[in-house]
Amino acid sequence: MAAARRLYVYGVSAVSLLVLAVGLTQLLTVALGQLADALGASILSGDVTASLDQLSLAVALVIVGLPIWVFHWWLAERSVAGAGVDVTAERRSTIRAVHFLDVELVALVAWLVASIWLVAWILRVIVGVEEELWGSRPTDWIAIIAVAFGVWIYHTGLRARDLRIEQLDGAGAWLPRLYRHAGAFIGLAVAGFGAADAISIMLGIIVGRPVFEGGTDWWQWPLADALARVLIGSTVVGLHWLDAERTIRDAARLGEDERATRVRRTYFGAVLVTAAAAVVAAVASSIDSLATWVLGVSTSDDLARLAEDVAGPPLAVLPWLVLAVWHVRTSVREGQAFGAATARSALRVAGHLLSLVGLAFGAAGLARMVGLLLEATIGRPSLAGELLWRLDLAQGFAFAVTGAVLWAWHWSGVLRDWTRGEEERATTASRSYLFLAVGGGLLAAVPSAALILYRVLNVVLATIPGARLGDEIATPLGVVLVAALVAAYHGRFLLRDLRTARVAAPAAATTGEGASITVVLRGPAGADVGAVLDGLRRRLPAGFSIESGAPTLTPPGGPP
Amino acid sequence: MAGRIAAGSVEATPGTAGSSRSILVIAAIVIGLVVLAVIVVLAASRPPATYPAGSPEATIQGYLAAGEQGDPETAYAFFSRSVRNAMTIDAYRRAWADHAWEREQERRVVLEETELHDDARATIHLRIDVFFGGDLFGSSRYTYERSIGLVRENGSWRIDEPLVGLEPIGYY
Repeated sequence: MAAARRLYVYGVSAVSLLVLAVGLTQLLTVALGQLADALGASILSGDVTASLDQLSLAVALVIVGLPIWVFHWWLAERSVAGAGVDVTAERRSTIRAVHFLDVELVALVAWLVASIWLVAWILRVIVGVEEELWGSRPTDWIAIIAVAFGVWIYHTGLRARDLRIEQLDGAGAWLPRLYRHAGAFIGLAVAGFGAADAISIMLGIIVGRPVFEGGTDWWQWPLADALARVLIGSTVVGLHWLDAERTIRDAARLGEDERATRVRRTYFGAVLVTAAAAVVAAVASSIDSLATWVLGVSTSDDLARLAEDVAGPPLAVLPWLVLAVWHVRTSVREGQAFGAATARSALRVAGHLLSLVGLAFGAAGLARMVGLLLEATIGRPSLAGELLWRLDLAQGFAFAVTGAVLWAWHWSGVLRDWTRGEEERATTASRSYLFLAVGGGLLAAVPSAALILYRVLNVVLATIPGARLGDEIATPLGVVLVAALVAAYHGRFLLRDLRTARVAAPAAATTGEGASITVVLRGPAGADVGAVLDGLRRRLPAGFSIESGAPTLTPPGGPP
Repeated sequence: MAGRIAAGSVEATPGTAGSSRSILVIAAIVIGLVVLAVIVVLAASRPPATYPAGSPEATIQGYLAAGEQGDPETAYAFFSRSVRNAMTIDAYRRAWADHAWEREQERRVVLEETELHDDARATIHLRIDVFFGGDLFGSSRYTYERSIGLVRENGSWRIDEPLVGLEPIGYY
């Protein structure tokens, strides 16, 4: 019953808020546009009728949306005011948490995008770039920012209040955390790729990159856009990071330390994987340029251009390198607060993620190379002389080498760590890495193998000439060979670990029934000890349990 | 635990009055914005400006008025001699007929800048707002910009590029 009521209240609130926000945005769009025209433009043709029509629609949306939202949101807020079991359940409810997550994310993306457009436009106006409006006007972006930012700040403030009133758990706790870190990641991605683009453009200016169109001022438009992304992305990541820092400071009040949560660890991992992928792609692009030049198939003889192509991509991703190092160090430092083992775990996860990124890029590059070599061997030998084939080979080589170096660097560290003992091999990070490597290899090999069989059957059934078989199967054969190699290499470790675990399990079973510790849980007068205990039970790792008797009253003045 | 608020502590939780007040404040702000926006739109609305006869702006305005009145002959008369030599009135009528969709649009043409290159040449920079029947999720206005070259002939400014409406002929 309560869930049905919540679905209704939050569902109607969300829809009416959307109607209200769209109406308000249109209202501000019309008013600001009209005001801007009144201040500095002359109308040649057309009258006010169109604006009044727009205004009527906007007012209609607001008049419909506002009372419905006010009433339903008042119902929602009334449910979390005061105290009691129902109020606690409401604040902890998954539906309320999902509502906040949705509203905050949609509003964030809206004001983020509109702010980038507006700031880029302002930067272009400052440097005097002449550009044509296409689709919307700057006043439209101001309207979107005003409404979306208002919605965002109101809901973010309310959720922060919820978190500090009640110790939330389950979805009520992790969905707001997910939003905080998703917001930080979105801002980081926008700022990181914006910074990379800005560096690349500035290098192009220094080198004097030739352009097809746009004259010597080609850089002004994209540089303004890149700088706007850096500025707005940094603001977004800063706001969300500060919010996360506040929750860490308030750990005692929130009942959970943000630093120990899976969502935060996943955030660190996502940043590291994104940064590693960006760096590998950039270094591979650099090696590709060098390889095509060495092979004599470069599309440009200009040495300055070659220098930009070789040095530019690695320089452009320097911000990502800095972000990766900073995030790894932060995760290790945060881990140290919980002991040396947690800090080591953070480093272990980073090492495995980097191995995985290197493996993915290296395997993809190697598969491409093998496929191309097979194509020129069992397909058409004349291919080896073709420019496109050589360019593809250089690209495959670049990705294979870059990925392999990253993988070998971190994988050798993992193997060194494994020599410390079986417990290091049995960690979640190691197991996950091995399963992902084997699973990824098989997932790549199976459809490619099916494709090879399909081509062979085509030849057998004479739907394609046999002479073309080499051409047709070369690429999937390359994928199958490399994927099988990856799966077999990692599968060997995985099988050994699983066998060791099977042998160890019965041995552990015979040594006793597991470890246990007696804990006494005390709370203030009137506290729901059972609810707190249920909360603790929900947070236990797999295989753990809490046994309890009936609650007892503690005499005033504390326990004896 | 230090700083911990006990579950269900009335002191630490906001009352209904606090939440209701903030919702009412938001409602008041929204209503205030609606009133302000309506006042701004009505107060800032102006009819099309009037320009001295023979000016570049008056030429464009006259050309647009001919379009709105469905008068291709008058619109054709606003083109320069070189444009009229390259495009006969019959060819222009055919392009006019093909381009009926633009005349059916509800739009506003705003003068952004007039650039006088010398006594004989000018460029008019326009912003065109095209309005659509709005719906809940669709943008109801589309804005783009156009620059039109003019040339002075016999003391009057003439449009020096083949257009139908505000689009170059041959584009469609």
